[in-house]
Amino acid sequence: MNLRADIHAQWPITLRARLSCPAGQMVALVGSSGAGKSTLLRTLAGLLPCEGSVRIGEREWQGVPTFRRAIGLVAQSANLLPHLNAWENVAMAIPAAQFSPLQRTDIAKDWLERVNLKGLEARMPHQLSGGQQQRVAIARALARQPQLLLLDEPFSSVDAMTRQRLYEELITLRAQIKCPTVLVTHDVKEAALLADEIAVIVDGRVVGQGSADLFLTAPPTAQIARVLGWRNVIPYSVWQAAMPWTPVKPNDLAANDAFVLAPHRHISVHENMLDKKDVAGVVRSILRLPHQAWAHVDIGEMHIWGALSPLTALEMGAACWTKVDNCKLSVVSK
Amino acid sequence: MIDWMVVGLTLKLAFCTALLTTPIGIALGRWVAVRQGRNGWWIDALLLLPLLIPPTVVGLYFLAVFAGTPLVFSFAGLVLASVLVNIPFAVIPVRRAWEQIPRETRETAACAGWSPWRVFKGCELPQAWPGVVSAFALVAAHTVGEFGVVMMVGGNLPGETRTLAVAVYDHMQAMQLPQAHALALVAVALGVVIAVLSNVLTRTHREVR
Repeated sequence: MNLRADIHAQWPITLRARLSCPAGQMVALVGSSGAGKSTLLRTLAGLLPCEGSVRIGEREWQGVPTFRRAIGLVAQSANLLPHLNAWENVAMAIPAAQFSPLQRTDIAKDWLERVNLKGLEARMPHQLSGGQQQRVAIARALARQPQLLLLDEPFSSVDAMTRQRLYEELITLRAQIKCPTVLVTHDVKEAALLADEIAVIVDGRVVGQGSADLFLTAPPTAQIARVLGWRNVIPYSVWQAAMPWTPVKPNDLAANDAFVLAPHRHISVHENMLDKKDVAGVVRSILRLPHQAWAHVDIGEMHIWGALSPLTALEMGAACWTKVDNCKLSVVSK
Repeated sequence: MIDWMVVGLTLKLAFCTALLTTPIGIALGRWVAVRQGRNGWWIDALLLLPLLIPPTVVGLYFLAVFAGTPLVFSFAGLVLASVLVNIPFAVIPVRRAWEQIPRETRETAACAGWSPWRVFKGCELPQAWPGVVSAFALVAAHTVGEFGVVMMVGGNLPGETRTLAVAVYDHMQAMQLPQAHALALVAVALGVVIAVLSNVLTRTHREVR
């Protein structure tokens, strides 16, 4: 059953969001802090009041209380009930009306096994590590056989190694998840790794939704590019004034509304001119990371990020040359 | 030397008051902790009011309201007045306990298909249990020592409204020091028993957490 939501809400932030997700697919809600990602997720769960429509298949969920919606929720923290052990924390989500106590036991144990917690069923939450608690939360959400799975930054509270392991486990479990899944994350890499589609949310509005691959390699608008972490989103007129050549702009796009997207990985910064097409600039700042250094360069009125050559001795304020791979440029609307 | 009728009546009053006040404390304390909005300050003030005015004044208003009814100078009236006076002692620990429960835990239980009643019973109550036990113990202990309201509402009828605190006062007035000290010792013992019981009932919970 597909998810189709068209939501309007005024509290706690103004929300106007359209979202869809086919059954078995995962859509990642990406946006900056305070953009309304978690608010939208809580609204989908019925935890916050809203107007509009939330449809799962042909069923309208608007007005249906949370406990009557077949939802699986995994939040930032596991939120296990402290007085129940791991097995009971999973079994609590299995409807008693549909399954006998024996069946519930089997289903809960089966899900704990699937998230690699076999043998830890009797442990209380305080006897489990953060990663194990999060696995119990995932098992609980899936054991409910949800019609909508909601993941609210579920990996943000665990260490990097556990996160990697949980990614792998979730990717393995994806084949068994038949319902639509909405993942809230501020990590674009996480969205790219796990989701089929990305929905970008800015100030409570979903400004675009599309294939994760497409959005990450060729964002359709400058706004989406900025949210997805593109560093070089430059107004077309500023680019025109600073650079000797300009990428082709679609005819129906006004110059004032156009932006040039220049992937920083395809821009290199050197001490010396290597090619006739190189453009002179001044190093504004340098960001040195373990495997790569990046330079922020002023070219006229334009500021652009590029990869710094490994052997270069460039410092802040030094004159430099910038090489841009023209083929990788694109022009998009604002 | 010890007037066991007085001790029995005091225990009965303490138990009845705690039994009636604790559910009221749970309802009000939970409501204040979970539902109260921005304008909740006046509800806080209202709930604390019985603590802020002298018990004799509460007794006076109680008599004014219920004058001419069988509640005056009766055990039932004494229980009702004790409940009114003790509401803050039940609300405060319950409220603190409910404030400790993360909102997300309640929401997760709701998302797991639990109805509001089941969330209350199976999720909130077990976590707030120490607060509930504290509320019961505080109300019971405070009722054992209650004097002003008992004097005003109950009078001093032996076997009906004469409690431990009033009896100690009577013995002192009559210069019967051994009897006064014996009852005082019982009052101290009751306080210790209530404190120990409260501790035992919440210990398992602390170990789990």
